[in-house]
Amino acid sequence: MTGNHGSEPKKVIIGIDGVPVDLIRDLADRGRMPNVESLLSEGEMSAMRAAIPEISNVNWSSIVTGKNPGEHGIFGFTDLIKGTYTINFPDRRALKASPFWEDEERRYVILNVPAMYPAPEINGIFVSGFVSPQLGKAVSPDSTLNVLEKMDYQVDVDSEKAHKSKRLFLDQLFETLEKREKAYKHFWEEKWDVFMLVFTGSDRLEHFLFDAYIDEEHEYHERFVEYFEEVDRIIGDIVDRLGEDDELVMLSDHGMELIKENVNLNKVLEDEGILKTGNKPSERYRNIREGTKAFVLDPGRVYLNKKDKYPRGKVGKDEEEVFLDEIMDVFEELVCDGEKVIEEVHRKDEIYFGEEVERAPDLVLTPASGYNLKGSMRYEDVFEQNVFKGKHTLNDAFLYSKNSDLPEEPKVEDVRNLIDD
Amino acid sequence: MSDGKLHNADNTCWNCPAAKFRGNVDFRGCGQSRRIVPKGEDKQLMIECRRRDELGHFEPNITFEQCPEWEKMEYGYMLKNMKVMILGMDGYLGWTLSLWLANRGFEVSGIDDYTRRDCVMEKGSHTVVPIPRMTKKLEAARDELDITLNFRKMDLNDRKKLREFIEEVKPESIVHYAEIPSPPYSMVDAEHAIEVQRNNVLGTLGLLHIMRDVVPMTSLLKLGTMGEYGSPLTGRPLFEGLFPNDAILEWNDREWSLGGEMTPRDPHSFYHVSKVQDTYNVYEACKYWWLRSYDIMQGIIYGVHTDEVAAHPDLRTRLDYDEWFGTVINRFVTQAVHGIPLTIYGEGEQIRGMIALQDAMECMTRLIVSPPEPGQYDVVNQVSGLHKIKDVAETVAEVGNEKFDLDVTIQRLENPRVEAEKHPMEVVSRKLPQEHGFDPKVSMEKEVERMFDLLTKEEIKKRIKEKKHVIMPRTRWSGEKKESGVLEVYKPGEKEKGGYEGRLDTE
Ligand SMILES: NC(=O)c1ccc[n+]([C@@H]2O[C@H](COP(=O)([O-])OP(=O)(O)OC[C@H]3O[C@@H](n4cnc5c(N)ncnc54)[C@H](O)[C@@H]3O)[C@@H](O)[C@H]2O)c1
Ligand SMILES: [Zn+2]
Repeated sequence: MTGNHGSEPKKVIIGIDGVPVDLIRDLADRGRMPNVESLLSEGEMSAMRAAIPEISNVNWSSIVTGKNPGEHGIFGFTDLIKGTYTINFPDRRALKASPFWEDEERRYVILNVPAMYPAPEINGIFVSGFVSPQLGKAVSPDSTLNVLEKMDYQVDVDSEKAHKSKRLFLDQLFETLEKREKAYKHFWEEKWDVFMLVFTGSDRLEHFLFDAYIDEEHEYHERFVEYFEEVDRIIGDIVDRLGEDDELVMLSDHGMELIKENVNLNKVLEDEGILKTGNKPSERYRNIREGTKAFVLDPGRVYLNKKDKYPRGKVGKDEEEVFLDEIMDVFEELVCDGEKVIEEVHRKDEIYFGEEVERAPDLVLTPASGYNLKGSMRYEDVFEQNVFKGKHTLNDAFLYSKNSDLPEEPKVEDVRNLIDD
Repeated sequence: MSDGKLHNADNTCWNCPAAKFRGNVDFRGCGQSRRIVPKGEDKQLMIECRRRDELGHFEPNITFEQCPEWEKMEYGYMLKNMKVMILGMDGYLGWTLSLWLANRGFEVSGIDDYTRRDCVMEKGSHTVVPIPRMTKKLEAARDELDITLNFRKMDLNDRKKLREFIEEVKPESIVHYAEIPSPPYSMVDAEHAIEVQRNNVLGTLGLLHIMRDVVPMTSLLKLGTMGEYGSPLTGRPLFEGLFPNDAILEWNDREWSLGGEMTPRDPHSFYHVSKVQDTYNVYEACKYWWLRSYDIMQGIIYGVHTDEVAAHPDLRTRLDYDEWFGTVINRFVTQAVHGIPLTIYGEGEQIRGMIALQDAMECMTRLIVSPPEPGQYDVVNQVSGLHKIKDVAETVAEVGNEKFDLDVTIQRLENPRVEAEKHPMEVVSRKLPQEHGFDPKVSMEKEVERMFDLLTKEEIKKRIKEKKHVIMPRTRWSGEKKESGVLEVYKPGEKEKGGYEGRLDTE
């Protein structure tokens, strides 16, 4: 414990984006994450259920607010601008529930929580995580910018690099992690009661190289594990700084698994005549033509093309139920090599509650294991392969607490209680 | 257009200078990148709108038709109060365009360092249509048209000042006229050639760097000239800067596509060379830095009229008739008024692309409201007709004789230039009419008549007479300083038509 911290117990929250409970346990067991291993022997860890859909910004919004998407209003990385087929990218400004840092009684350092751009003014220091297009707007107070610029801080790796070269991508991941460590050490010296730090490189690494984790012969297997060794080293460093009574919570926001097939859901709808498109796929949703009953936004969010809601809306109030039933049937019957692709089709009021439900997708699909659902408007076939190896999973995020008991079958919304306690 | 839509209705934020590119998001990999990757599957470009903050980050595909910041006007959808900066505001075209745009709701700023006034003075000449000092012109604009122009006197090559001004104004479109536009001036001697190329080439190169750093989304309308292409004796069509997709090079029994490559340039003075050099500099800047530009291969402009410049004598734009800065039709009308035979160089069978002042203003407006896409370097041939110099002389003479009771004759002079005097010419000019809805409104007869109307006023006739010694060409491409000898003098209608006909390909 450094000198400038008072005697009140502090709380530290460490997030590791996209890490399934089995992976962290496995690496701890193999002795590759020794600090985590010893934490596990002191506290309690359990699998945690992510929000639906299991997208990072939906999850982190639930984690920091303790609310379900029907209340916080974030349903995915994308949304459509009212009255148009133009996609926007909802960020913190679209968040309709209060994150824990709005309680001004305590002082905070919040470093790299995804989906929280632009940085809010809080009692303490805030550096937003991915997606943060401009560093200048990702920090508060303003004086923080100078500090970060001096250490050449990076919010995230440049994902373009991963598409060019795995090697360059890995180099960048390690470099970004190093910068993150520098930043955390710098801000640790501030006055705070709650310190939250999220590692996001883990998720990127798994998306591109989850096969390297599974396959020990893979040329990048060692580098993959080394990344987690680095994360473990930093965790150890943090633990060393903690006092006896200080609390530590550790978690991921969703799990990860190997992709078997990518599934173009809009192609499914088009084949069934439910979606009609023009000949300009590059226009994405603007390529939707008259007569469309429904379309899908990433990953598996189905929206009825309602009359008063969209420029070429078709579905009237009285037709909604019939069309929903039809679409549910289509997806429930979707198979790949004799295997069911969609595990469950949820109607919005079955999974969401709250003021924002009206804006929620009409149906949300959750896939069977290995199927990566896509709402892309550029597709050729229903099933396809691409560069990505890992995809998010719903049921196997992890939650760890050193000091407190965990709830039975925890969900991402439950984390807030551990932070507030 | 066939479906009754305005021609730029379906343009999107992708074309809009109010969009601020913020890189792309890669959803599958939960990644982000600062780079602009326009066509990536599963990667989505993110922009913010400078004008509509409430939209947050979004993909650049709201159409002009949908966006409340774009309003219908005569020449397409126009960005409300669009900010246009005109480099070379005091010039023949710059001044005319400034008034024209400001009168149509654009917010106009501009610079000039009066290079043109100085060069004309160096020749010992003056503009035959009198123009007052800039301050007085600005005052007249305010008083007569209720227009405020944000003008700063500055040299384009003063990069520090220019950068500050651009930073302050944040123009959404930049029209770059600020070059020394005279072929003969560039052929006087080494000093003049160097000055033209320094001023033009380095000015443009510096501007491109400033745009990269300060206003990368702003569209650049750069003025080139049809003279960049030359006049190939094979009659090969002069495409719009780049070869069309189906153009093929055949050699030695093999074939290659030329689609998208730059067409050959064959400039015919050191001035034209400066324009060609600009072309490459602009092309490269678009490639390296995602700047966007229309390189406008403009035909020879003629005329004196727009409603704005005609609104008050103090609002007039300049009109030169000296051998350096007078362009062909403008010179002919002046010569006709003054009573000297119209000066044709050599055979007079040269064919040139031309366009009336007002039509040129309309073209510029249409291009300003339809900016290219990021990284797009596009070339348009801005001409409304192809004319043989000899025929132009006939037209001017006819109008002068029939409507103004003059007795105009024509003279052929020894050609001071090195150029083909007889050649075929086919010009492709499809983009303005096809993609930008341009349809010429001013016939040559009509504009020539307006010119006579103005130039036959007593005070202007006096001005023409005062400097009549500047009319005959003395600047030869060979370097000699010697007046051209007269080959022949004839009356209009005496000569038989013959030789090549120009062909303008608009559809
Ligand atoms: N007029 C034509 O027939 C014609 C035809 C084809 C292309 N163009 C091109 O169009 C443009 C405008 O032509 P114009 O006829 O209006 O010529 P112009 O000389 O009347 O206008 C150019 C203006 O730019 C200014 N200028 C030049 N260098 C400058 C510098 N370094 N800093 C600041 N101001 C500077 C001049 O003082 C002048 O006022 C030129 O680039 C010309 O080459 C003209
Ligand atoms: Zn992810």
